[in-house]
Amino acid sequence: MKKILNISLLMLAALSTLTLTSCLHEMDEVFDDDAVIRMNNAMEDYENVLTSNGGKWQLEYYSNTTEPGYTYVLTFAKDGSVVMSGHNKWINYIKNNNLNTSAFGSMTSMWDVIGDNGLVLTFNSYNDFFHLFSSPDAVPTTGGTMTAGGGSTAGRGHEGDYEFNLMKFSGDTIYMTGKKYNYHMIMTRLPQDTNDSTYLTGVANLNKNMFTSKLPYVYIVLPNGNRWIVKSAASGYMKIYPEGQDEVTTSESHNFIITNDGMAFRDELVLEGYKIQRFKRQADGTALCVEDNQTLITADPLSVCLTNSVLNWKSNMKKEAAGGIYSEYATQISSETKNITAATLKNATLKEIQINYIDSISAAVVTMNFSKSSKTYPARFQFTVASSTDNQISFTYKGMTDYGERFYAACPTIEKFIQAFAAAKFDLTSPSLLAPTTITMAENGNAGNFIVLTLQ
Amino acid sequence: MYITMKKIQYYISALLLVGFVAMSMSSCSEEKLGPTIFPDEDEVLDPTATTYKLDKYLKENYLDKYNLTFLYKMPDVSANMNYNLVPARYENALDLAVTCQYLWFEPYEALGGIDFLKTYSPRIILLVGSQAISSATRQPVDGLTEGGVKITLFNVNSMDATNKDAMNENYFHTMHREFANILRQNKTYPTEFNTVSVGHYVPSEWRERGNEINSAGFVSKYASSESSVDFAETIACYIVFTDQQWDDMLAYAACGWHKDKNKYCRYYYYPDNDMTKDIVYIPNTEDDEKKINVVRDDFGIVVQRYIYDGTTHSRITVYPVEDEDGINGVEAIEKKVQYARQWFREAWGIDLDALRDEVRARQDAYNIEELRKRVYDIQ
Repeated sequence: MKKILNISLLMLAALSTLTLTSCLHEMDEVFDDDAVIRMNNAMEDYENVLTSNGGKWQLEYYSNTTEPGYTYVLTFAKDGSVVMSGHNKWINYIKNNNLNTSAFGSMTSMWDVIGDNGLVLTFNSYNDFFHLFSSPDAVPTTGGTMTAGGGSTAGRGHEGDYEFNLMKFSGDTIYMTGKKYNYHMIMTRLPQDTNDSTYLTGVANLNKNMFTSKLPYVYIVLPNGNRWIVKSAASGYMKIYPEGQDEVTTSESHNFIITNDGMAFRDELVLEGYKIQRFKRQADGTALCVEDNQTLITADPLSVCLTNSVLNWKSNMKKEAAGGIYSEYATQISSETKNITAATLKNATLKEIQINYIDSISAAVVTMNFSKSSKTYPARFQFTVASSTDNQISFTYKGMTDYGERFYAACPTIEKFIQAFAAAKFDLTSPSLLAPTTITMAENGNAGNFIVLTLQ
Repeated sequence: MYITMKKIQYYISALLLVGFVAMSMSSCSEEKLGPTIFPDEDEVLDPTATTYKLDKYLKENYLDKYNLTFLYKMPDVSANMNYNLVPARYENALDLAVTCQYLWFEPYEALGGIDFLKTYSPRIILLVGSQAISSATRQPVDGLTEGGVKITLFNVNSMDATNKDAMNENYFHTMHREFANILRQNKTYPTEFNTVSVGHYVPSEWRERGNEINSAGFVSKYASSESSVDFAETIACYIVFTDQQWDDMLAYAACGWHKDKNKYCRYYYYPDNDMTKDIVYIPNTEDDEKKINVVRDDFGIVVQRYIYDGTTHSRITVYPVEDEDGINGVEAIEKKVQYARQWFREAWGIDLDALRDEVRARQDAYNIEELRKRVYDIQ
């Protein structure tokens, strides 16, 4: 009997434990609200963030890993509309069937924040100037149908996203990833009085001037002093490799975007342990890393650029391109060609001065190109070169070749020119050290005597 | 009453057990249910939204009426992620919304009743701005039906709603075909239909065919890909083709065809009318066949065809190619239409010819400006 009672009590004890256990699922809630409420609240939060303070944002957009990024200005309105503005060559193709230059385009379409396995910002009605990156149409080129990424692009296009997973909002920056192709992108709030066209034209101008395709390479200079060679930066898709290393085996390629104040790589790069991504353009045209405030993207010093044998510099010696005695000498030399007896050269005009450095003779050749009847007659004068600083250069006369002797004999001012040129120390300046498409050579101590050389 | 100790203990145990269970259950039942995790179907439209009028139109004329979601703000997840696609242009979505109602839903509602559409219309129509290019064939897909509940219409951004003929060819043809696909997925069509052209379907090469396909008993190239497509295409063509288009198609079906240098031809001639010379075939292209002159009798019957010799300008008699494929194309097509007619009547209680008349009357009266007012005039 006792046994039965004991069994009953044991069963009760066990049962009570079980029932108590069944209530233990009422643990402290991790979240205050249910998932659906939290999702709705988050959607509303993002909608408010996007539309507040004028609703104007800069989007750094990447369609794939081999094209540059494109800067867009988006203006979100509470009525579900969004003005999407851009300034790039694809817009120019749509508007003018031309891929050689960039054009501004702006159009209104729709946007929404939806809950779709997380928060998603979607641009869900077609916008001519934005959804072009998601179109399956073959990517056009000036030459016809593009075959980017191997094979035909028909059915694939640029492979760009128009839906974005909203990852986080911090300060005035929204971090997101393309939903289909997963590229990281950011949106940064702009002042509400930003004029889309003015702003994006500024970006387009910087895009044109930040790098130049005429310079074969520039450098990423790391804080430890090591340099990485940068090639093809003007294309928006640069190849980089450590200086002195084998290009083929050590190079890597990265796309990047030009923004209103500099450039940014699509993803953070780690070079020799240094993490770099965003660069701010400096007053001298170089780009300084925002993350470490030390890494610099720059080119060779101007004196090195001027004596780089693969570069070709010219000055037409007209009003803006020459000053002081050099301008006067150029005019006089042209007038003195009447003294030449040879009919083909008589009254030839000094069209331009050209400077090339020739490695084989270790000398810079200053060529006076004379023209007559659509023909050019080069009078070449050789100089050895010395540079005491990065931005200073001087020349020592060495000799003349080609038509040099004939013009020299007929035009006494050429001798004056050579003497002045060889006697001076020239200070070198350029609007951009990273893209020195022009260099001004001004006499040290007499800046009024100058020649402006343009990189060909 | 004699109660043993054993029974007393049994009852005590049982009472305690019931008490504990009741307590434990009551303690758990205080849990309150939270809000639903599913979206609120009666979502209130925002009258300040730019798209309010179209959204209201779609809610009242598709969702409330047919339980159909007309998706024009394309969520990529709704489409096949293997394709690169773009959303529809808003203005084109509006045009397609009103014309779908006018040329598709209203005719079916007039003939089949609203309950028919509530039950069998797709649950979702998804508009996609771009083409979908099949990775396998590299060919564009112009419409898709999925599971009988969703129709996806592609290339909406290329649509010109003011061009009635193009709309008919590129969109309404597709809609009626895809709807026929949904209907046949719900109620099987007569198996006899499959026997009409058995052995003549070419699933992978149908795109390379031309008008000669009518002579094989098909209303279109696509119809020759497989029997179920043939069935849906026959219905769609029968509904949307104009009389002229249908007659031209039957005329091609009645012809004999000869393949010459990779081109299909239905006429030929002897140079200089000299039957000892090699036959020259005339390709079935608009430019080539336009050169053929036709002489008819008082009853409109063709008595002679001829072309002019390029040098002598004399008449050269043109002959029709003998129909030697062993298929009576016209008869096959008419038989297929008859099966479709019978199926519509018996399975759905719908008169296919009346449906065709209704659609054609609407096509004749089609005016996109008027149709747009259905949205524009919404307050």
